[in-house]
Amino acid sequence: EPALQSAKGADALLIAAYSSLDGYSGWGNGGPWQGSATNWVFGSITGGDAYKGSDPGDQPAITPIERMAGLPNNEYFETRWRVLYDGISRANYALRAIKGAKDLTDANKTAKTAEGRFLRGHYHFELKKMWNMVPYVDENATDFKIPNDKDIYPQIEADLKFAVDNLPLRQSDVGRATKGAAQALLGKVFLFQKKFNEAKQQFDAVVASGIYSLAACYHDNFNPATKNGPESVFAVQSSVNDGSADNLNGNYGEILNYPYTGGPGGCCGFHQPSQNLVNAFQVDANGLPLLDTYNNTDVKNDQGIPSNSPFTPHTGPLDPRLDWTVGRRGIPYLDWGPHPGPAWIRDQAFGGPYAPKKNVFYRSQQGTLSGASGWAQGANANNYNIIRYADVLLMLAECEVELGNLERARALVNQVRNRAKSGCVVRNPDNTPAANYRVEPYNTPWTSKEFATKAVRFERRIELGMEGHRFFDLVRWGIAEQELNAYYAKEGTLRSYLQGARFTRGKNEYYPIPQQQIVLSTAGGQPTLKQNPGY
Amino acid sequence: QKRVSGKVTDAEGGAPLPGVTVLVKGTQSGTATDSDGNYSIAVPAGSSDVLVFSFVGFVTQEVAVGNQAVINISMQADVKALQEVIVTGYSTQQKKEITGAIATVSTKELLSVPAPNFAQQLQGKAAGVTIGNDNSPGGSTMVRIRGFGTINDNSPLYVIDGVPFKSDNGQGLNNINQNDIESISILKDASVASIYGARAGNGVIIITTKKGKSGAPKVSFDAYTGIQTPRKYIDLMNVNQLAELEWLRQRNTGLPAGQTNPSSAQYGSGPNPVLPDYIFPAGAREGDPRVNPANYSNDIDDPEFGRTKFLITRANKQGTDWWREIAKPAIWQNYNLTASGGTDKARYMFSGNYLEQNGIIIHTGFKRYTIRANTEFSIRNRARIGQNLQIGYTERVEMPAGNQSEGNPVSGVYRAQPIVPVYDIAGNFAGHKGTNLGNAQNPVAQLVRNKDNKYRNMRIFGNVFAEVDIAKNLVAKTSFGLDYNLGHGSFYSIRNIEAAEPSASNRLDVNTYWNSNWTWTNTLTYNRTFNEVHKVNAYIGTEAIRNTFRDFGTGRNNFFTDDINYRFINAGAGLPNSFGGGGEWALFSIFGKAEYGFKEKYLFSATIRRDGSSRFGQANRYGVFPAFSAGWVLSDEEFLKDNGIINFAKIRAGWGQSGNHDGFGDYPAYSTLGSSISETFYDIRGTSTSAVLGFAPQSTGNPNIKWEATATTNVGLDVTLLKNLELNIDVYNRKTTDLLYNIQQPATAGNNIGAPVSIVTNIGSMQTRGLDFALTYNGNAMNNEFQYSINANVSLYRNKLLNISGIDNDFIADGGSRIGNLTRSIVGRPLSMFWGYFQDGIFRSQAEVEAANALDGNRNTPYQDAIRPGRFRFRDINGDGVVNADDNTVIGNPHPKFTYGFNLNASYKGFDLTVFLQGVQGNDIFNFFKYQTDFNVFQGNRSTRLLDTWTEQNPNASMPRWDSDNGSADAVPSSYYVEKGSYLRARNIQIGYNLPSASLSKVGIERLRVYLQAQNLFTITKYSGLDPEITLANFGTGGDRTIGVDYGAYPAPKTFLVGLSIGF
Repeated sequence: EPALQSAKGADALLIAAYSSLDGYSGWGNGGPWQGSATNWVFGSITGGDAYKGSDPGDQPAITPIERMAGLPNNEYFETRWRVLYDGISRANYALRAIKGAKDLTDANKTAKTAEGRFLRGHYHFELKKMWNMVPYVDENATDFKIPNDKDIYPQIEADLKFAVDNLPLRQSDVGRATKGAAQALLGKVFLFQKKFNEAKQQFDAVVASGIYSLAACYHDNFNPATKNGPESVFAVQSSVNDGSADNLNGNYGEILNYPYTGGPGGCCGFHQPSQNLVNAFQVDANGLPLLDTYNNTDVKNDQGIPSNSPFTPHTGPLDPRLDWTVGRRGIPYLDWGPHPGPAWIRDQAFGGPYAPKKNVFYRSQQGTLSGASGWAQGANANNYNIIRYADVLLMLAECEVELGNLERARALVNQVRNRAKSGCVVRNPDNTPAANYRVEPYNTPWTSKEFATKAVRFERRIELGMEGHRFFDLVRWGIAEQELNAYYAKEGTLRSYLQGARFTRGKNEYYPIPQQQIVLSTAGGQPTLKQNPGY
Repeated sequence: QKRVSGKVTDAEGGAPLPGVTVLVKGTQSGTATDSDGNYSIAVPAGSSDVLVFSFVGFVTQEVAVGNQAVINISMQADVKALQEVIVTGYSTQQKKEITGAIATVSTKELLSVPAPNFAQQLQGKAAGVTIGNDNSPGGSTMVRIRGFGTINDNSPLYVIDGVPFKSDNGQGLNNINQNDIESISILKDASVASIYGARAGNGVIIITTKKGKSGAPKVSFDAYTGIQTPRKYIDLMNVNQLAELEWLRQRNTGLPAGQTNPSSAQYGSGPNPVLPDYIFPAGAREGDPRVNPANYSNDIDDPEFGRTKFLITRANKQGTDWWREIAKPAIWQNYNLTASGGTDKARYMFSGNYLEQNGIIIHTGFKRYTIRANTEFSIRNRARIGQNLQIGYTERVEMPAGNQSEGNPVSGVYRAQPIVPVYDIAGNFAGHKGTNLGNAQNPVAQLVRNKDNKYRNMRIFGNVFAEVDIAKNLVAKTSFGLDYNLGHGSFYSIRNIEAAEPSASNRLDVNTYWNSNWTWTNTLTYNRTFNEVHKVNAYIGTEAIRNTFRDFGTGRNNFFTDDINYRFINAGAGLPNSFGGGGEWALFSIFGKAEYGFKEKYLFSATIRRDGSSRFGQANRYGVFPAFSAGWVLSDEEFLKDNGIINFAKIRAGWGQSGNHDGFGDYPAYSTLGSSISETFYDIRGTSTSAVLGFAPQSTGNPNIKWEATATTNVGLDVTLLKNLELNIDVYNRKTTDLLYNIQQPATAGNNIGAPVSIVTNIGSMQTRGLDFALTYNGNAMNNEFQYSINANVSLYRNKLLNISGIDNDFIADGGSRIGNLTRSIVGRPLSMFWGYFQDGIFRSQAEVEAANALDGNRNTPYQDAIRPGRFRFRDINGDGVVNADDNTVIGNPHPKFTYGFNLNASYKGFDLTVFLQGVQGNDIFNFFKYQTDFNVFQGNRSTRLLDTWTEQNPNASMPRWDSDNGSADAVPSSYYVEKGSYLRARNIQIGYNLPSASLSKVGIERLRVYLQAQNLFTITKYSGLDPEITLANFGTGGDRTIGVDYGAYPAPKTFLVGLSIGF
């Protein structure tokens, strides 16, 4: 360790701390998909955006989590916990080395420290979202059996405030944390605590910085060729063909989430969008979402219709973001041709008719921006946006609704909707839109807080669908119980394993602390970590 | 000086005995009898005037010369073999004088079983020695002496001609030619093994190779060849049954709203499944325009692939029997040539061996070439120098994905669907690419593509030594040994484009390692008998060992051609990925041993060894390992002398301590930082195709760790009754303290690159108690024309983890699987117990479900998750009325109640017969095969057990409700998987015939024996899997915490051999 107490050494330690952002830090912690930064299991599947998908026997540990019956010994919890604390540990190593580096100026030390503390704050916040009561580890810790008896938001805020105060607006390396990233993240931390004023302040600063804007095309956020665009506030950087044998520096956390036996990726048909999510993209004649009735009728799907039988996709009006979010029969799957339905689905009877899309690369990028090795070939250079500007705008809109500034909220939501309207839509080879797309801004002033709240939340769902936010949003809004129990009731008719699933208030807001970690925390015969209520 | 000559004959029958050593007592002057049994020897003036006649298997005789010029001797066969000299470490001892627990196995017994290494040949031959092997050619062998003494690696220390080595996965045994072995001594208890100190905690196997003897050159040639065949096939569903099962699953699961029939890409969507004519394109029928051969393409990167272009594959409606496709009869052959001879000044032994064992799984196999040269020179009757050297070269083709894995072809047999043919319409490999066929690979394709992926190993093993008689009773010896291994693997993978989850490119991985281990040993030995009653045998010595290891490898994607001539790294186009590493360790030891015998009746022995290991920090670098033992030959006491029943009786008792320093790498005491491209690098610049170096902690050391220490107390009894019945019983108590374990730290401590921080720590203790019993009876009848010997041995051990203090729970979980850990090593229990729910039948009805739900007093809370009629019922162990994680318990024990071996050797005139049965009794096997065959997980083939699943109409079914939820609800670890593992196996039956020597000698042949042999002719077991011989799931450190789990193991073949042994 002393050998690395130099500018170069400290930065190498910091790079390793960034390297943990993707949620993978070695197979010894568990599968990369279990710890994935994208929260596809813990945010998207549990939030009702998607089903586990694939085949009942593959990754069976997800099923109880999806059913809100995940036990403390479930390996998915264990892995996510481990990779997050690994990130924290690496950040702390870096912070110690920065402190001891003799060839760093004080100013440089402060700037580097800000990066380290940003990362440490981020990792702790992810833990906080998942488990609520978690230990906070700083760079001075020597005894790692740390109790989870305190709310760690104050420490997270302190780390991020330091980052806000000391990070530059722009970094020469695009992957490094910036002031804007720290402000957005700190704002999100405030928002989760319902500190709307403080949150608004941070989000406003991000907007005011003038650095960020919405990408012209919604899908630019999910295309490895256009990543790190104006909308990217903070992202996990992915690289492939970089010398890592299995392309583990690509978006490997999504490696299971590609179509099956055809199309890109070659593995394994997970994270299949739910009918409920697809229905949410239905719009009325005015191009506005069906806030209360979206789930009364289903968007037409090809369940049970063989790939060589004719099928005409849904003809009703749909928000174009649907087909950048969900792969469905008959609609071009990027440049891989139209999704053929069952031919690309591993077990349609189990996982439904849809495929994920935001993690996928273009055929034209195969082998250059996607990896080509080993068992799975889906790893590509697509970034995962931890925070993108649309997210900031919608979080700001939430603050404005809560603070009573409904029209500002409407303007912010409309900013997002107008991009969807004016931007790109999925097109057939003959350049015609692939479906009956329609999306319009809210043209009528918002006068009811209740409506505004509903509209902002709904916008957040469709704008950020399949991006791992939904479950955490439902919990912080306090509506997880009603939303999810209604979801199980309806989706249970399609996916039988969801029958009997139940969200229990006071318990399922947070996941169980991993059993193994409770055991490992034992000191003097007593575990230092305390299990969350209800488990 | 005078000259004495004479003839030596066999007391029984009077045949001349060639090769008998004749020595002038107390000198190095000697000769050997010629082929007619004649000798002639000069007896120097002033010498002891006594001749010593010795010959293996005969009682040594001493004859005073006096005035005789001709001395004819008839030698008695040494049936009891009490005079047998046994290697006990750095010295030898007569069997009669031994006070510890040592088993010996003769070369003849060893070689009666065909196997690629001596350890497999030891199976069932020695009490207290448990052997298991993975059955694949050139595969791993597990050798366990007296059960399990540590939670880590329990493999013994091997010493060949004084050069020690460890072989934790047992593969290092395959490149030693066992035909060169003269004797094997197995030091079972610490009172004898402690002389090897720090590495002897799991016992020591000492091997001495054959040496030349003075006399005319002897040449022998041995050969056998034969065929191995698969022993058993498994019952799987046929194509129609599997299709019906899929319809049942969909109906039971519940069809989506608006759908009236099940549907599948292959079987259509009608009331009954209809077998397709083609599986790719999925579900196509004859006449479908897509199956026109013009639409055939194997270019999966073509945008039209899967839409208008297909790997057109016909459905195999008869069903492919994948097991019969991959398990085929295979040839096994072995040739061995040995020449030896010498004079009293120089002796030599040379051998060459070729062994080829092809596997019953196609395209797997093992080849071995060895040569050996052992020589010894006597210098002026006072000194001897010599060398032993073997060079071995092996080639192995292993099953792809390795043994005991769900990805290997053995697992592929049940994971692959029978409707998939081996080949598509163009004759290329067919696969599961068509929809709804699961993700198995074509096992034939896997094996064929893997056939040239060889692992090559070269091993140089041997030593040079010099020995000087410093004074009359004092001998100094020095030996320098080398064990040098060089391995190279080259693994090319051809794209499996037909697979459901194909790889994206072809790829070559090559890796090379070398491991150099030298041992320098010096001893000073003093032997003397005082006043003819006080016999003293003592030595002191030093030993230095140094080991250096390096490995590196590289891999590359995107080869232009799969042609075997281009399988070099240079021919690839992708970015190469490399790795490399190394390590070193050293041991320095001083040791000594003293034996004292009074009138050969009261025997005492003491040893001590002090080892220093580079692997431990300053604080605990040195360990001292003492041992004591004593013996009392009761039969030499007056009260037992000359009674007609007990010919010999000795009781032995000993205590000793030995250690273990293996299994935790070379630097467990030190902390380091490191980097790894996949785990610490990051594309901080957003380039998409490069990553910047990052550093992170790599290992966390513990400077305070010390040796695992194993103390053994042994009490034994050796009795010979009625001249021919020999009985050996040993009871022992083995306790290991300071068990080493890599304790995982809380995640808050971060990672060592790639895995949670773990720190090697001395955590606890373990006990193994047991009993070894061996019985031998030698008999004859019909005037000695019919001779036979019967040997039976029984071993049992009871293992218990006493405490694990450093980890704050009382178990260590292992045996990872898709459904979590299958084994637990729990305090108070033996290692590696199976862990899960007890399965108590099936919920027959809604009424049973409701009754169970009400057990906790609340009818609205379910008894177990996903409860419904037709589900497995799991037992509520703690009686709280609900089944949850707290109701997991021990559901099986992989340790046998006892193991046994039974050997019969008989000969009549020229014929001989060997029957060797070996068995294991009272153990359980966790049959993880059933996960894939018996539950709705993945879409592979299924067991025919599923023809009887629960429905409302069939409430008494043996299998649960077949639906999509079955995979998560019923497949959890439970006693359903646990089966009885007992077996009795006819390991070897051999019938031989020795051609009459009279006729042979006319053509210059001394002896010629031919034999027929059947191996594994029958196996009696209730185990439903392919083979009950399931030992370790992996053979590395920690593998001993997963015993008896069948993850897809290579089955043992049934073998028929014909052999020839010829001597000149």
